[in-house]
Order: sequence, then C-alpha cells, then structure tokens
Amino acid sequence: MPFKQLRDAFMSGKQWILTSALPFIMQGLFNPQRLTAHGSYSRCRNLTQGNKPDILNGASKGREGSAKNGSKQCSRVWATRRREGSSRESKKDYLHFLYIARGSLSETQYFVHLSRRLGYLSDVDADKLIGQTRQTFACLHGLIQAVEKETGKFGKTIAALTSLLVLGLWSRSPWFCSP
Amino acid sequence: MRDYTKIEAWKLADDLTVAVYEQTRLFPKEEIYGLTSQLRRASYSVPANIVLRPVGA
Repeated sequence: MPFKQLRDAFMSGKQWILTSALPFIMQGLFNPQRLTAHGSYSRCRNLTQGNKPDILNGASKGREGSAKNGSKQCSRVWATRRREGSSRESKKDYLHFLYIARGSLSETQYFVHLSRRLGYLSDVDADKLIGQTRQTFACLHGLIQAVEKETGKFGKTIAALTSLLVLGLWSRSPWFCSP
Repeated sequence: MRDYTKIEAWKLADDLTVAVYEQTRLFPKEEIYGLTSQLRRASYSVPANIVLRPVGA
C-alpha cells in the first residue's frame, strides 16, 4: 500500500486500515532485500543449472550418486530456501534444521551399534565412534538450547512492540474514551 | 551468515563424519547400498544441517 494512501487513511481516522496493513509493512521493513538480485542466490542458481565449480566436476565418476549429486541437490535446495527465506522467521528455520541434525545423529548412533552387532566394526572402533557421537550430541544440544532461547526472546520483543504500536494507534482513534 | 567453521558442534560432527567414512571403507561389499550408505548419509547430514543456517539467524 503506498505511503500517501496510508497517511490519508491515518489522518481520516481509518486506523483499522493501517492495522490491517501492519503485517505487510513489518514484512517490508524487516526484509527489504530483493533476493533474486542477491549474489549468493544467483550463484546457487548457476550451480543448480550446471555451471558447477571445478571441485564438483573433479569428483570421481563412481561417486556421482553421492557426493556430486548431493552437492547439486543441496545447491538447488539452498537456492529455493534463499528465495523463500524472505518471508519466514529464519531463527525458527535454523532450529528446524538443528532438530533434523539431532535426529540424524541418533540415527548414526544406532547404525554404529548395528555395525558392531553385525561384526563390521570392532569393539574399540565402535566405542570410539559412539564416544564421538555422544560428544557431538552434548554440543549440539547446547547449540539448540542457545538458539531456542534467542528465538523466544526475539518473539517476545516483537509481540511487545506490536502491542505497544496497536495501543498507541487505538488511543489516537475517535472511539477511544479517555478517563 | 555466520562462519559455521567456528561452531563447536559443527567441528565435532565433521570429525565424526570423517571417522565414519574411514571406518565404513572396510565394510563388506554387499552393504554398499545398505548399511554403509545409510550410515554415511546419516553422519554427513549432521554437519550439513548445522551449515544450513538461514540469513539473519
């Protein structure tokens, strides 16, 4: 909504227009960047479309199904996320990825255990890997807690600011009865 | 985007992935598309998901 119309609406006492437009204004304020014009977005798009850097072209042919293809997929996913990311809460997103990482770590722990049971890994090697997974678990848990704490604080601040703004607008409206 | 190489959890997960790749190199051939593949995918998913940090987080 153009600024002039908003100002007119405000001056004529139609604050409800401004209140309804508030989410869009907030979105515009917090995400002013045009992601399609962003350098990293275009680089990700180039990577997805086949303009791969030498490091990927140099991957051995036998591993095309894993590392090379994985990198290609990741680049595509990342390009998509860069585009979508403008309208989402990035910290919550990151928390989501961290939960996936924690799930994968549990999976790894079980697979190591299974490999030992099947006799593919010696007790010493399996214990070493299990120890590493436990250490990673502890560290990842700390990271998750830190991000959770940050997300909670950020959400509360935004909620408080929005309430103050709405209260301020409401107190200026003609329907507001001052004591 | 913050430098993910400074995240302690990422460093540990990266070490774990390298260790898993080294250990699974000696797994039997019939497990290439089974346990070997699954174990490798699960292990590299951990640092990969820590790296996937959206802008602004």
